[in-house]
Amino acid sequence: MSTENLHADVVIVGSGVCGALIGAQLAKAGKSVLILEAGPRVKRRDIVETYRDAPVKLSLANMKLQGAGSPFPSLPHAPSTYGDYLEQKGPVKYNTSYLRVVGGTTWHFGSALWRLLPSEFKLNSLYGRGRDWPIGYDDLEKYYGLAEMELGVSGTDDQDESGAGGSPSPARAAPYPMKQVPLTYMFRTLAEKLSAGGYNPVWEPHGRATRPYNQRPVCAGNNNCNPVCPIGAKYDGSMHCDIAENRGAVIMPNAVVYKLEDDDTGRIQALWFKRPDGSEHKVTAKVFVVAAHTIETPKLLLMSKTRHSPNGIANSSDMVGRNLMDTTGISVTMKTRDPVWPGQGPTELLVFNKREGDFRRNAAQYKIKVRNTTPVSQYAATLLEQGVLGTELDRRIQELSAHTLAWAVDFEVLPDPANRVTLSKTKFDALGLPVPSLYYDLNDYWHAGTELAMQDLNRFSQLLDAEITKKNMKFENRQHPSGTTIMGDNPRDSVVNRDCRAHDHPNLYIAGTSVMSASTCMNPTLTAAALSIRIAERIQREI
Amino acid sequence: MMRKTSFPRSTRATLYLVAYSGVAALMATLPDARAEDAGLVEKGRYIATAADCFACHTSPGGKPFAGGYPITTPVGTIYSTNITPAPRTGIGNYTKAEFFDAVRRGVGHGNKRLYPAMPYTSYAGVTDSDMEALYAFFNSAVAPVEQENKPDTVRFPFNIRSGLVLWNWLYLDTRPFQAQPRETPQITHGRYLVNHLEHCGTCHTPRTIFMGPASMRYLAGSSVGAWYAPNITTDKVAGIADWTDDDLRNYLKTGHALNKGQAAGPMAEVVTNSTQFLTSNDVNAMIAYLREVPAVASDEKRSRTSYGTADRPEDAARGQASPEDRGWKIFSGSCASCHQAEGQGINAYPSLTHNSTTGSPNARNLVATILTGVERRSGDNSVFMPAFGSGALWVNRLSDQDIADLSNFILKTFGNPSVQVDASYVAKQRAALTP
Amino acid sequence: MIPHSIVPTALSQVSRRRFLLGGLAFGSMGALASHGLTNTPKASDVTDFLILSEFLTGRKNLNFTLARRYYLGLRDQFPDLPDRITNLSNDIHASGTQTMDDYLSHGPTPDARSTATTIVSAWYLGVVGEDPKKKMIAYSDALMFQAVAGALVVPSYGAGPLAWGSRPEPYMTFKEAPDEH
Repeated sequence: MSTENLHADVVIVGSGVCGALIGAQLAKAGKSVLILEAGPRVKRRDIVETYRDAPVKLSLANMKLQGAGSPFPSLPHAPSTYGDYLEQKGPVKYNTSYLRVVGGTTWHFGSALWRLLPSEFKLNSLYGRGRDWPIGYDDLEKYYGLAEMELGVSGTDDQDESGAGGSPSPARAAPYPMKQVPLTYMFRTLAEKLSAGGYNPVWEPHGRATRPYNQRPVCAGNNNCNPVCPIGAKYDGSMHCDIAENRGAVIMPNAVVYKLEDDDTGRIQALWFKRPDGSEHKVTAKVFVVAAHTIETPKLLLMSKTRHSPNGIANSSDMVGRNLMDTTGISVTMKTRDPVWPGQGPTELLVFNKREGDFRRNAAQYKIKVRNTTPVSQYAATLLEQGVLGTELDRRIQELSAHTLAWAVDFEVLPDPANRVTLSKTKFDALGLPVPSLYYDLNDYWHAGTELAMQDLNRFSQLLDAEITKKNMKFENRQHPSGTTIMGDNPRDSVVNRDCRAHDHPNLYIAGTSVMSASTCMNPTLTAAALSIRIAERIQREI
Repeated sequence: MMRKTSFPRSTRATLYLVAYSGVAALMATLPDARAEDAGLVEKGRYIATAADCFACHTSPGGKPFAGGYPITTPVGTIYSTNITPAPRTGIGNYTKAEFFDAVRRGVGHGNKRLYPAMPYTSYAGVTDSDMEALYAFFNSAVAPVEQENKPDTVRFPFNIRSGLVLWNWLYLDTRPFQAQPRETPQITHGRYLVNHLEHCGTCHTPRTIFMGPASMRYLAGSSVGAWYAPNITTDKVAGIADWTDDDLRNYLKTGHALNKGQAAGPMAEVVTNSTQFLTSNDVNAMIAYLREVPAVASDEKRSRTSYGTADRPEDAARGQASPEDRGWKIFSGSCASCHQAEGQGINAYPSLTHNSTTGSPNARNLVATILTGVERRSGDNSVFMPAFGSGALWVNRLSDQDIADLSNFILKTFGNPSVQVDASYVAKQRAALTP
Repeated sequence: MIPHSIVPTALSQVSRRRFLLGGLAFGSMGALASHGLTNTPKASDVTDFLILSEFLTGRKNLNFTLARRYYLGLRDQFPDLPDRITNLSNDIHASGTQTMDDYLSHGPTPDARSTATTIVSAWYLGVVGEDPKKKMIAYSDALMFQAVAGALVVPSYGAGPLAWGSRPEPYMTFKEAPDEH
């Protein structure tokens, strides 16, 4: 037991983009803020150098290698999720990778920062599937705008982000804070050829600076967004940790929170965390925010079995950990006749969205994206394994690099209570805490979406004069988890209310993509960031 | 001999963008011109830009020309004054003669002596016609802002302003500017710009123990706070004889001269606020005059832009668990993504070889640049290098020892290997840059 | 670039490849094999490895420091490396071919081909050996990146603020257009 008596107005579990945004805003408002982070605090240069020194490098272009290692630390008290940390119990592996470091998973995100469309808040009422959000686009528009300013989003104004090629959507009160990056040769070429076939290119809004922005330099095309932007041009949560800290917040790394305690009125009284040495420490606060990632947040709540909440904190509905979603996808590799040269500039930009339409009654919406990375080392290694030597080796490396297109499709996944995070009964980390155990499966709705997407990709190959050389229909995890503390108006089938406040506990907020009522096929970070700013505003009003 | 100059423009990480947006705002809004001739006002705007009044008379985040910018000097902190045409706190009720006296003689309202942080010894040579224009500009194109002036914190005995009468007798040359015999009109004009409007010597000429300019070492280089304003005489080794006219033109217009040098710190402010706006004729005149400045040698044996590298440090060190040179590891992780693995630079990113900063006879600009980064604008182009000192993002911050190791690696590998620093040197520079 | 000091005079006067193909090379490799291994390779061993590597990769300016590190790294993982190098050298010599491409069409012995692949893999990937003893030697200087240089940057070494947009033109070009659809 600790002799420390830590107290703050607000204690936040998790220093990722959501926790850091809330911490920064409340610290600016003069509140005392403590941010607890399970993992260590890392320097950018150490991550960059660990990456360069690694004999096998992570690459988004080869998801299979994702298990091979990560330049981010794996510590006994905060093990890397790149290894075998997560326990897989379902028919479909849910091998997501999140980072336990100060700043969180945005350190390695591709930085796509999309708003949802108004229709995406109403999946059930429009198409009879899944759930509606209890709030709508209009409730969030202001916060989307604030989040875009905070995160520094570069984007293309006046495009229809639904992919339908219509008038600009969703409606915006203000233009993007920064202009879009220039297009590369590949992006221009693909957009032109596929437009000719009736497809509508959409340029992704993202967190790379295109002018100096809050100490961030301009994106320099390092083509290394994942696993780490070497120059910090790309937003990550550590930047708001700095803002919070400069305004007086305390950031405590290597503090693994394992229990929340409530009282008979439902209020959260305290939380407990362990240090790497196993020592246990208590923190009291007026308001508690759990922003610990969609997998770890339900784990913490489920571990917190108390006298008043025997099922776990915030879990009277039994919905904590359930409705696990992702934008689980497929991928297709093509060889083009003409060189297209992926690999210049940032690692992603061009997408083809199919987000709206009556097809959604029967099939998942989707987003087709082209990976702008070139796995030169994988090409070279494969060729050498095949015994290619001499001039032919250089020629083939160049040819594969210039002519290979890696397409990936992300699909909407419906909330299904059977897909869930529970606590492992057999596997524990070095602190004795159970690891997350995952059950995940995909239904016909998802499969129907993949069939539509494959029709598009076949058409793409014709329009691009390319040949499909490889298909992977096997459920690629897209690291876009959501749903495990789902939002709703009904306390019996949801965990948090429309303010992201736990139905069961008036002074507990949950921040992150775990509150999303629908996954959509889009990257969820901006929505979670907007909700977080809204949470901070609510808290600021209360204390 | 005391080599610290008295009047550095202190620099602040946030200043440049603010300053620039201030200039932009200034240019966009023209308050209702009184009966002044618009042409005269525009000329005055140009003179004010060339004289870079904005940089010192606008505080970070403050209203243009409303003063309050802190200038740290060895004798205390001096705050620039409000020079908007506000009647009470500004110069709204200065007569033309009073205005001229303030700018050219260092004498303010009520016969109050100005500290020579205001470079009136340089402005003394500004012509009457330029002064007329300047007066018209400040009176009719600058928005009046009533903002109290901040008291200076100058120590005794320097706070006795009457001492300045003696100082002025030593250093204030009140003779009107005029062409010299055998001087082309272009050189005459360049001399006017360099010595008077742009007041280059304020930083580039070292000071005597009385804080006056050391005329024997005119433009021969001087410390400016944590920074160093290098020798810009025609000396073949110590000066800028090896800079081509294009190099100098690029430097003044953009702050970037390929394989020569890049403006950071106070000089980045000068480019951002002043020299980038000069006409080609004026830039050419400055260059022509600088070619005439007498050579002043210093101790160094090689030109500061002459250092290249034979080494490929990456080849020996990559993949080693603990490379011999800690400085390389810091360089590789913090610098090489932009300046490249062999320090060669690429496109907008300058090389670290053939670089005035790394080849300098002292490490001031190198260490100050690492600590504060670079922010500079010319036209639509923003140049930005992140800071690695106390004001940096946490994930980028380097300790004094880190910066010492890094600097020594850079000096040894890409620059002047005879210069080396230690952590206490970095700590001192860090303190000097912390407001 | 090879510092001049470590290149024997005879080599610096004649192009190293001519020297190699003139049948004089690899003398010290043979000597090495017969004398057994020492912990520190002689400069001449590394120079020979460098010359062989230049032949195998078709490059003219491989780096001595890297050659030394690859040689040591490979020898550490493959104790019979000196013998294998001798065999490969002999096979190249016997073939009488002038370039790697000619040698490949001439038909190396399986052993020679395997040794060549091991050495070329190290230079191209910047990594020696197999898991779990994989060792990183070079990243930005790994030769694989030269095949796309001019078009693509080495990831994490960007080309500057928003410095992209024109049609990529790799420095390396090939006679036959890569068009095997």
